[in-house]
Amino acid sequence: MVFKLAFRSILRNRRRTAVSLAVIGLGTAALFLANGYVAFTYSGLEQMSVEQTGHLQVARPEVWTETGEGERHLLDRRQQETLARILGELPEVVAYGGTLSLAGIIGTDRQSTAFVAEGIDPAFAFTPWMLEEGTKLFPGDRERILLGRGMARALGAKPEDWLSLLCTTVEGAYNAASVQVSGTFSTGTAQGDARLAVLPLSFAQSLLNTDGIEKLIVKLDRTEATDRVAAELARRLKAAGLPLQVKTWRELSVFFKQVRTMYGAIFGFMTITIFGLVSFSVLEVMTLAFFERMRELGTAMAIGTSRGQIFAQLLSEGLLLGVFGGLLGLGLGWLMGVGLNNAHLTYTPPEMNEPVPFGVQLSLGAAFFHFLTALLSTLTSTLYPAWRAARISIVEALHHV
Amino acid sequence: MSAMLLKAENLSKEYRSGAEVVRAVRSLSLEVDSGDFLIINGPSGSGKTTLLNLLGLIDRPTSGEIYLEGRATSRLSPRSLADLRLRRIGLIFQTFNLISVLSAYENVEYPLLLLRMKPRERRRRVMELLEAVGLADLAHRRPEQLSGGQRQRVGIARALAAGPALVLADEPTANLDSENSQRVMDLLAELNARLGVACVVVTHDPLVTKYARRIAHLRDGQLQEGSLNGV
Ligand SMILES: Nc1ncnc2c1ncn2[C@@H]1O[C@H](COP(=O)(O)OP(=O)(O)OP(=O)(O)O)[C@@H](O)[C@H]1O
Ligand SMILES: [Mg+2]
Repeated sequence: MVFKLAFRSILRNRRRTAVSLAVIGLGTAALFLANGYVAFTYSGLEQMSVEQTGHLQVARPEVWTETGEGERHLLDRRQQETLARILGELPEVVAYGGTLSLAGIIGTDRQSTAFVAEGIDPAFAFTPWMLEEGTKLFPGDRERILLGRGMARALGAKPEDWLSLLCTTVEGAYNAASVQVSGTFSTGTAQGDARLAVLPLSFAQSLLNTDGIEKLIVKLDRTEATDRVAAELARRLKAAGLPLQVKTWRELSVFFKQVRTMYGAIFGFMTITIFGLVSFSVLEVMTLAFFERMRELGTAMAIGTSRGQIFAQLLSEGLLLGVFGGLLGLGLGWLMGVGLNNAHLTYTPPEMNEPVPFGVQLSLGAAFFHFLTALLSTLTSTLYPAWRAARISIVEALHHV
Repeated sequence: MSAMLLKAENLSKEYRSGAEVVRAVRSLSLEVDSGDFLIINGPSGSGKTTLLNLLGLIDRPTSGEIYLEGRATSRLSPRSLADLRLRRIGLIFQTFNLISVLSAYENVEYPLLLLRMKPRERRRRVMELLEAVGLADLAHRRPEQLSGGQRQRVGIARALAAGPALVLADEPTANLDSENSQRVMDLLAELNARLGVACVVVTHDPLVTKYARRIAHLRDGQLQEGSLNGV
């Protein structure tokens, strides 16, 4: 009965109901899409971050705290072996490999530039950047290097060209070597492209004259397992007496954190704005709708309906509007989302020089959340008009025309 | 005569607008027995509607007390008053006041739903009432598809639905032509006689006074001396 009455009451003024439904629906669709876009961006960034940092990194804590040059904090052979044994016991670990960074000068006889290179294990399918020209590094490669494309251009270096490289060993002695360009890559930022290089770990170790590694990069079978495995690994490292720290990709990717914070702020603001707009217009509509029916409400009370029942009755109208408006919004948002995704749009964000795909992630969980949001905002904005309507004096309401 | 149903003692109702005080009902006392048929008339502004609102427990007196079936009502909570109105009082309005989105059937059913009557019993009761007011055929029409007379008959069926002891009607025929007025009043008189429901009807209509067992004249918020003609 309550819903039959509510249903018919909202159908009484069809145009007004249509407008309310449109407002609730559009608001819900907008939030649903915006949220889908954020989720899409996050998952893209998540993937990108994981590719760049691995799921986990293990190193001595000083590696992350001391940024200046000077003493290197490396894992020696024995530590590497213990670490390998522990990682072998964790079923989620798919692959791992050491890294060793070095800085120096690289160039031809005409041009030279400072660089920062990461020594990586080519056997480990960890490729931090996107290859542009040439080939990647293969296991067994020795004096080969991948250059950031900006650096390659500055040096006029092409794949298979030979360059000279100068650096200092861990003991502080100068060391020089010849190195062949294997390929060039793009980091996505001009700064990175101008300074970064990648070379085989074994070559980096011989340049620095050490068998140590700086960090061990670990890849897991699932990103969701990151925190759990990180905790387990830290526990086992402690038990084995290794003074090492474990960091997750989330902690390592500054960019991911920044983007998350920024998007969080933008979409938080957007959510509040839309929520406010929807609530406010529902409030207006409901106030008007209840006011128009004052005499009927007075009659219902006069013939024995309690104020509580009137309140519940009016609230259920808001509930119905919320349900239908929410469903409409989800349908609309979903359709638009599918349309957007099928359009395969791309755009280039600021500070990036590669276009990234533009899309929205549509999930049932988010749909449910936005449905609840729509319901809640209509219900809350029905609350006050319903409360006021249920409180009017019966005699006054009956006088109302 | 039969037992006392309603008793009003020293009822007053004042409206205050700014400094001005309108005393719409002044120290009025009145008794209604079960099975009574009381007609209240009086000039416009004499306080008829105000009095009926007080008797119907939809308005509270400034002072005085109303006893319904021996029970004082002035201190009851709004909830208990709503429940009393639902179970013991039927209201009939000059403007019919049906719920426009409900059919004739559903309007009559409404108080029964508030009473939580079982569906089968409810259905039987609604049809019985619609037959009694001669509208069984039009049960599924909405109020706007009914004539004024038909609407008022739905209003009567609704007022009687919960089996009240007292029916209060404020100018029930004022919006009807004489033929329909007659029909509505005949119906009320018949139900009064058949079911023993007490009726208090406010009206200007001189034609209606023939239905009365008693007539009360209201002037300036007071019942006039000797205006309650005994049977
Ligand atoms: N809400 C109110 N506020 C102020 N004064 C009121 C209010 N309701 C009624 N009155 C006054 O109380 C007096 C009695 O009004 P009431 O409506 O009871 O008269 P009535 O006999 O029903 O008149 P009518 O025959 O025109 O319906 C009138 O003077 C009226 O102006
Ligand atoms: Mg009146």
